Amino acid sequence: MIEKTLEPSVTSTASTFRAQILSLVALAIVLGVLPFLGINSQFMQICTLAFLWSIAAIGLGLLFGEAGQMSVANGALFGVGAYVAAIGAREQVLSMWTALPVAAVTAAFAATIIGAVALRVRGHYFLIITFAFAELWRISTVNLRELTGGNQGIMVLDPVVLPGVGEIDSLRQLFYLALVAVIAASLIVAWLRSSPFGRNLRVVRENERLAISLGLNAARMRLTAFAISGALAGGAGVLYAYNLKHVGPEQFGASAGIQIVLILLIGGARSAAGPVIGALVFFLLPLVSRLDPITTEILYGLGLLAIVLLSPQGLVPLFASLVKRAWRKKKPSILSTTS
Amino acid sequence: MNEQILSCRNVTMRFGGVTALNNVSLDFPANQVVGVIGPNGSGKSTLFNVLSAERRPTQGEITWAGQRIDGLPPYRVASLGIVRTYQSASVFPELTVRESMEFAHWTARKRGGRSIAEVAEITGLTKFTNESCRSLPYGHQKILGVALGLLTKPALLLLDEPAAGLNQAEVSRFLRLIKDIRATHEIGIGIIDHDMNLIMPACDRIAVLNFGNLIAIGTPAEIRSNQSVLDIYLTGDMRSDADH
Repeated sequence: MIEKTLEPSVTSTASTFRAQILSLVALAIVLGVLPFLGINSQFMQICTLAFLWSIAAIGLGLLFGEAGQMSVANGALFGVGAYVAAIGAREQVLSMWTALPVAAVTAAFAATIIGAVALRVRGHYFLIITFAFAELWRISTVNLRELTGGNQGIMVLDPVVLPGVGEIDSLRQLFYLALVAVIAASLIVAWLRSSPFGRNLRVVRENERLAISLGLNAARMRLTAFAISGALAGGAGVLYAYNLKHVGPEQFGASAGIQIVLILLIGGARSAAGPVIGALVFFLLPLVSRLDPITTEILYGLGLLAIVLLSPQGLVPLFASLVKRAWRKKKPSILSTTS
Repeated sequence: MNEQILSCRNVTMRFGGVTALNNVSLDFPANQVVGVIGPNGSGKSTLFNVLSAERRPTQGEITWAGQRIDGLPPYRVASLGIVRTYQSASVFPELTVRESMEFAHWTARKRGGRSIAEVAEITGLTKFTNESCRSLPYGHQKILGVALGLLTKPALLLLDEPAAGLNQAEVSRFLRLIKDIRATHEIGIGIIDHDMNLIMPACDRIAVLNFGNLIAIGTPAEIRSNQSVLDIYLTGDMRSDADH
């Protein structure tokens, strides 16, 4: 049998399922006690929105972290979900709970259409096509006034009704609803990462030609990953619409897509907790630092540059490796004699 | 039931004004080792690209067990049991050897492929399974390519210059591997290579390409004494090899 080495010599491509679950449990506990620490309502509301944006980033993490393909269209797919919820509520045909699956399927379908066009090309070219689709979506929502309300957007006046509990409208209840949704989305993606499907995505990312030559339908793998990222963005969009009680075109264009990309890059595309941490940093930094918006944007630009240059894997893996290094320093190193 | 033979019939492949393959007809039965030799630019790699459906021939047809396969997507051809390796070592750099093998094994899940342990054993990769593919020495990366191919349980394995970049010790290890594979697997093998020390002892039949034309086909002994083949190989490699 194969000998087990004491220390694995290889950097694991995906942290093991158990490690991902543990980090998610820890994250859920830390975030779950926040409302009891006397945080103000503004802080709680921003956390809630950060959770919802991070769900879109979690989906993008599957596409980018595993399949190696970045997309700017996921902000628009988030918008697809939000508009499905808003239109469904306006027309009195969908409640929030029925809007969730409908929006997820609609956004996955939209991603499949975008992917069928965009996935013919790779890398930066793909990114540019998703950018075009994101702007196409924004312009459509401005101009299809009958359906979307144009620039005014749509008010979402229906309450969130939790079966067995009744209407939930306090910030704290909405906070927990969003937290549950984040953890659920993270678990789904963590499970997919550790499944043969996740492995197949990594295989395509690492060497597509070889993967195909061994019998893998690589195009379908990438398209499926994109559709799943779309479904998560769409589902998050529904919760977003019910939280803000309003949807409008400027919330979901290419800039929203770039925001999701930033959240993912700040946190780390291949770690389970990364996107949530990334979203919290992204949204809370201006609140905590109390800087004006322009200074904040400059700070973001510089901060992101620093992250991409110094720790391309994001903040969470950087933090993990710092902790590990500090731990090792306590023990004498055999390698210390080498130059 | 048709015999398991990969055949190309009157295959011509043109790139603009260049004819890379000219009316080539050749069979790869699933129980033989067939070598393809020829000088650089003679169309060997183009032939494999056409056989594995990575390129569609300009004219002619490719059949597997009597069924047309030219025009199918390459992953479909691979799942029919025709699997190729690549000239330069081609691996999944960030994955471990084991993960790569699990993937290749997974692709054969419906056909009941060989066990990973068995293929790791026969290819001598057992002690490397926890290494990342990137960290393997070049020769082992090429052997891993063969191991991945074997794990898909192919009926026919096409090896594109397996000996290129290997030293003599590695070439003889590769030759032993091919013989081991034949002894333990029901499989046909196609090999492109320049190294006569690999081709001559490994193959049942050898086809010779020159400027896209098939100029000879026969047993290694017949090819060694074929005058038009000897004329191409001016270096005399084949003659000295025949003297052994």
